[in-house]
Amino acid sequence: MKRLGVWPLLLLILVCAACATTQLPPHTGATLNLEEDEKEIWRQAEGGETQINRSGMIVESPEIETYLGDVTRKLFPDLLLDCRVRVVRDSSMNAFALPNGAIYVHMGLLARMENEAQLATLLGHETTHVSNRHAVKKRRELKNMSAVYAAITLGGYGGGLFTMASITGYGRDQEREADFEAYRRMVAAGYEPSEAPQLFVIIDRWVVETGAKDPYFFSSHPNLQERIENFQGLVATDPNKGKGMDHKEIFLSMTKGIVLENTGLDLKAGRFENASQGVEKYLAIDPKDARGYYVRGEILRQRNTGNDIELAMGCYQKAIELNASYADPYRALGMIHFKSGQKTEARQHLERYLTLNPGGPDRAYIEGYIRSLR
Amino acid sequence: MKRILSAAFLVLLATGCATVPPKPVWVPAETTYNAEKGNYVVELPAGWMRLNTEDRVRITRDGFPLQTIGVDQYKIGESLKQTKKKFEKGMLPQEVSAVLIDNITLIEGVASSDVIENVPAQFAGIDAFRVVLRLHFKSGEERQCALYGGMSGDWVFEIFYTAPPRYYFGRDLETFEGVVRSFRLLNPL
Repeated sequence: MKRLGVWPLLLLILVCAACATTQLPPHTGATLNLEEDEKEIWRQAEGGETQINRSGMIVESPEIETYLGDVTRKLFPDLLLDCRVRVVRDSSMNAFALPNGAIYVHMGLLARMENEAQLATLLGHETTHVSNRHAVKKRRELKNMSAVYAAITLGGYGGGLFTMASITGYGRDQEREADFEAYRRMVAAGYEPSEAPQLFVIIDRWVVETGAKDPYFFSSHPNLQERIENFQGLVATDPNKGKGMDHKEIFLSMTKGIVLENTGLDLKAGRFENASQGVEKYLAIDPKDARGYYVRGEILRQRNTGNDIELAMGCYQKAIELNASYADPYRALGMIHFKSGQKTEARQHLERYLTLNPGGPDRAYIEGYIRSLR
Repeated sequence: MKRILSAAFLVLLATGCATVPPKPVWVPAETTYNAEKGNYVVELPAGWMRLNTEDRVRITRDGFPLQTIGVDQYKIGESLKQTKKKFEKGMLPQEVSAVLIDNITLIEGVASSDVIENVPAQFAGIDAFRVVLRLHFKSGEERQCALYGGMSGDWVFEIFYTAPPRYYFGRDLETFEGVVRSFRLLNPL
């Protein structure tokens, strides 16, 4: 009890120090002024941006980047710097912003969102980290914490508090601020308020389904349930509820390629359930695309439980029906017939595959199967 | 209580005094490496060093970053380390290669990959495959891998070689092919 007497003093030091150094106007308004320590942070961010962009993880799609940039500008017409939003080829649910305006959204998150209003919530959140200069504020807070930490340690309270602060990214208050600002901006831009909490419902569902550990996107954030409740509280009293737009069609048409590619990543990792969800979403967007049926067949063939092979064959047939010059379903059917000893059907499909795809990287295998069938 | 602790300390001390020197991390690669538990035997190149572990073969001449040859085994029906896919009996070599490629390209830090070659091959007397692929890491580093693999009984055997693509990969590729040619199953199934 005696030690508790130190806390008010420490709190006062902390608050005073924070007030003195972390009150910075946002990067909105008339002119963009960077403080000296902020310039250094930007230099580091630029290095990080170059490294990420050269990593081979970025989806090279000017079309999707333009779309993501347009949504961001719609939310932040007053932002003094140009945010670049790019997609990272990673199936996890993640997004992050560098202080210089480079924003990255993981493919897994983009593929699982349902409409532009949810995307606006995410981009609003990440852009708030940029506009409200959270990186430099956090750095200054941590510097202040160092001074306070010395006092705490001397007072016999140990280093746990400092350690906790130093390993988190943006703090809970900054995350709350970003959530609130994202909500305010997405509603002001005309988006449907009730879609804001849905973004976090989707992330929460994914965490439960996959048993994932806290992804970076919300590792230092208020927990998901708390965030969902916070958003729902805002929506409940919002007069704009039910009046906003979600731009679902344009969002799905812009991101359907991402949905299919992400399905491929899930399949590669053997996450058949996630891959199935992905391909069903893709086929709901574009039910006439042969690739969707081929991928659905691949998921079934590779999972291979119960009557999966039979169902897979139906998917490959459907893909051929939709696009008779699409080579891959012929190969898949040929291999299934080959393994089950149906020589004539196997040879027909495999030969058709080679005719359609004479330079295929697996030509040597296919020729071998055909030779053994003669 | 005090007595028990003293006795325990004494035992600990005595054990400490009596322990044999720690096992060396590296040993010269044997001419013939006989993995009875793994059901294979393989000739290793002279002048190379072997990581002193019994569960798998890992050899190098100048250090793992510069070249590594290794042998791995996967039990059919068990999940792999990176992908959750499993090998199943009756898989064609092409299907086995696809699962192994998925497993390799999902290694932490790999940003993207290119399959340079994937062809049928004979390996240890079984129908197998030969794959060459290049891995691009997030750090900017690149590595090239050559691997042979095939299924025998309840196991998939994989023998691989990995090195930086420039200079090193080509330098020891023939040594690797020699190791592959020497690989034999003790009890072929």
